[in-house]
Amino acid sequence: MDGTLGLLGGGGGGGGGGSSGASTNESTVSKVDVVEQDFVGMSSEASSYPAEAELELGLGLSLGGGVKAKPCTWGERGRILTAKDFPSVVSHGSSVPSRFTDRATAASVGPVSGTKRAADSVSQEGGSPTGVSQVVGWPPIRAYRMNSLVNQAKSQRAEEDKMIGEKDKSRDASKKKIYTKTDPAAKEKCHLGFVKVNMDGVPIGRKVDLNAHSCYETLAQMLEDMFFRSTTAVSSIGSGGEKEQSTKASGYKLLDGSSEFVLTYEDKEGDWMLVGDVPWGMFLTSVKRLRIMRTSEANGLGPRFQERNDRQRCNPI
Amino acid sequence: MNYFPDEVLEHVFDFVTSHRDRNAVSLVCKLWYRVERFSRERVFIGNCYAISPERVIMRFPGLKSLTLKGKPHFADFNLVPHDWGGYVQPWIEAFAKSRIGLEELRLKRMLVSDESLELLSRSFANFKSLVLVSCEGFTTDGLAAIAANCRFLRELDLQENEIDDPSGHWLSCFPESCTSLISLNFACLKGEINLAALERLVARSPNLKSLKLNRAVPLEMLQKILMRAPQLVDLGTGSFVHDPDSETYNKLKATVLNCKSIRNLSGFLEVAPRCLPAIYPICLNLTTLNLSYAAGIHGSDLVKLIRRCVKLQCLWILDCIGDKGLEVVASTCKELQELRVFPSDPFGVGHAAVTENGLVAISSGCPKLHSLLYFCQQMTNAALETVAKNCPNFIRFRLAILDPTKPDPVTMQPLDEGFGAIVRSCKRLRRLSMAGLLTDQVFLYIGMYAEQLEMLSIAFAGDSDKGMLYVLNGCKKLRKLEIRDSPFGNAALLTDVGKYETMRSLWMSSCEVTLGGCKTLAKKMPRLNVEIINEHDQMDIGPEDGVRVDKMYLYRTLDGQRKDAPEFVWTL
Repeated sequence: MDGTLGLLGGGGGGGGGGSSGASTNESTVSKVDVVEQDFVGMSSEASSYPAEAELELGLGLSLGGGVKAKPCTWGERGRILTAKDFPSVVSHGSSVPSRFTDRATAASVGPVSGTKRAADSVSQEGGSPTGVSQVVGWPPIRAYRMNSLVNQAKSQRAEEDKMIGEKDKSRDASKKKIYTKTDPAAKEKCHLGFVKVNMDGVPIGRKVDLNAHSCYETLAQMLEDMFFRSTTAVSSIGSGGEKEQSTKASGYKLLDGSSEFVLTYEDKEGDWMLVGDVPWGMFLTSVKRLRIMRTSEANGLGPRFQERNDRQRCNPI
Repeated sequence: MNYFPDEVLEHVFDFVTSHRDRNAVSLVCKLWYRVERFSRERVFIGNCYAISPERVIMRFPGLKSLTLKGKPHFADFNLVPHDWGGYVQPWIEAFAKSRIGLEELRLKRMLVSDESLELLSRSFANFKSLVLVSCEGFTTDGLAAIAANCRFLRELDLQENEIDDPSGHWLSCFPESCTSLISLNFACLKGEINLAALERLVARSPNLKSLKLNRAVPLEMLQKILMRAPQLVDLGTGSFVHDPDSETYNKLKATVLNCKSIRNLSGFLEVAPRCLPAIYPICLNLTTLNLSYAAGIHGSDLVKLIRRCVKLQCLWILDCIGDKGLEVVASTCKELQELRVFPSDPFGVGHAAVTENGLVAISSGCPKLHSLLYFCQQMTNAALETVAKNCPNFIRFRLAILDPTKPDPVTMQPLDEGFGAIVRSCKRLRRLSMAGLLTDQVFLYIGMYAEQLEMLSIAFAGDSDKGMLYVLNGCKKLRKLEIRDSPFGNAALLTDVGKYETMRSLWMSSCEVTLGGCKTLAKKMPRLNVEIINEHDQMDIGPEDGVRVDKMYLYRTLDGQRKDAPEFVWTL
């Protein structure tokens, strides 16, 4: 398998037929395979495609370098792309500007194959599992509708679970798009996991996409970037307050109780819990929204609060 | 013209209702301008930053109804940070201070706070109608203020807003004396509802014509409500789940028979398909059916339902209907004018989806179709050409393919020819969104043929600056252009800068436009706000003019640079 980094590594052929020319759909289909093989160690789609497809970089139209796969019978329909297939456009604070320029450059090449682009132009940060982020805003469905689809699916599954009588947590966890190496059944449909985040003292909340993270550390880092670097702007609308000292620390500040604020979340039952107390997967299934609370107010969350100082926060469990 | 007293002119202008026509009227001469401005009651402002509230108040002292839109359209898809702007507070404050007798406020994509709603509820004695679409920033506390203080409230319509509902008590805040409600839509609320209060409210609202419930309202309550309000025209059910063998269900069936006025049906946020027969009697007269949130209805249940809706004019549905289901729609709904097919599984594996075949079937069965939103797996040029021939009356044509750059799967060609056929054939086309593999050629066609086009959405399309230039040069009526992830750069942006003053706004994200290009534009056109939305602190690292701009939003304005821009928005 021709493999380079991340999305452009080798993989099965595309699900589309056809010859040369604009065949990005195949490319992205094969990218899906690649992603799964590289990051999960298994691909349920692998069997559908010929094993020795050779990849050339083809149409670069804004998909991080089109990847052209050997044609195969059109009988196999290209699957609907998961959002994983597209290089991240913007997720708050988690993507790198240079990626867009490279992508845009590729896009102007036109439908000519053979433009080999360095795979690292599309590689996600650190090649981490969370690197396969969604293309924000595609398909173009209003966020409200998207969230409601997700919630409907969640509650339907919850009901099925109840009926079956199983409290199979690992199954629950696997139903979310959790891209961790330890999760064997990670081929799950991807959906938007935007939850609201409010911070004490800040009138306007933000939203984060939980699916773009695989552990507490990156989540906390992002939230710190979001709130602590632009706090003054958010809370004093338009007065253009000075930037605070960038607290670009380890991502632990919100999680280890050392700062003035702690990160908490509301779970399905309506209880407020400290973030980090449960395995990441379990957290994902139960979190409804987040709140960055003043440490002074978090005391009610008692014993856990003392214990957590001893615990390692960054393991994706 | 001088012979007529002002009152006569005013009387004539009363018949001119569309705001565009009224705008035109006001430009004829100073006299007409004066008469028009004093008699104008409804004002539409498509971009809340285009003008200040004070100026609006000065010009239209008789204003009763205000419509405001805030964030750019792409904010719907999370492309715009939540605190970008679009606050309604300054508007309400300004209006409250003035002597305007505001009666109606309609907001879209704006940030609304509880304080704003409270101020609104207290400032206008005659306030009658509040419509919020895709807004956020408020909770049910704000709604409670509206309910409690607006004594003559007729309409409270909440569409697809993200609302925190910490408490369900807002419904109880409608005083017993409030009997004026005509329309109440709280389908987007996620929390519990005081059901007894709801029933009492419905009972004392004899004029209630439109009621859309949220998921927390169970079927038993629906039955009681329909008993009290058989005059409803517009119904959105909440939860539609029950045991079809129960007495409650039988009561519902009987009650429904009495509701002869229902023409618009929606909801089914939770549904047990075996309960659907209860609503069959309504189907015959339905003109609007919105099942786009009814994920629980599919397959044969869905088809059975649709087969009864012979008078349908507007259908919103999920793609689990499939091509076969769309064929049923095509053979049943001959009066269909608007169709929206939403994806039920946007990121999943594509078994629940529609293809070009469904659309072709619709086009041949429903010649009156003029508005389309269609999310599909794939599209072909041949299909689009057929659709263009069958339905030359499109006003709005929006296609989204789940893989945004997918070519015609049969010919592997771009979809240029297909969309070209659409714009050539549909001479009245005002709004177009495209998807699939597209080159500069499609933009050539659009520039040449889409003479009435007002709004164009482009994503992952085109090869070069020429594409964007074709559109800017050709579409004389273009008002809103939004582009993402397409290779258009400074040359396209700067060739005809005057064009942007004829448009409401331009959005470009992940294109090739650079900071230098934007600066040049801003310098040449002082009456445009050119905003760079910068979330990655590119600018902090020492902004160079050659740096590509991630997101640019520009709009014409009479108000200059806005003062409420957050730190990450940089107005050049």
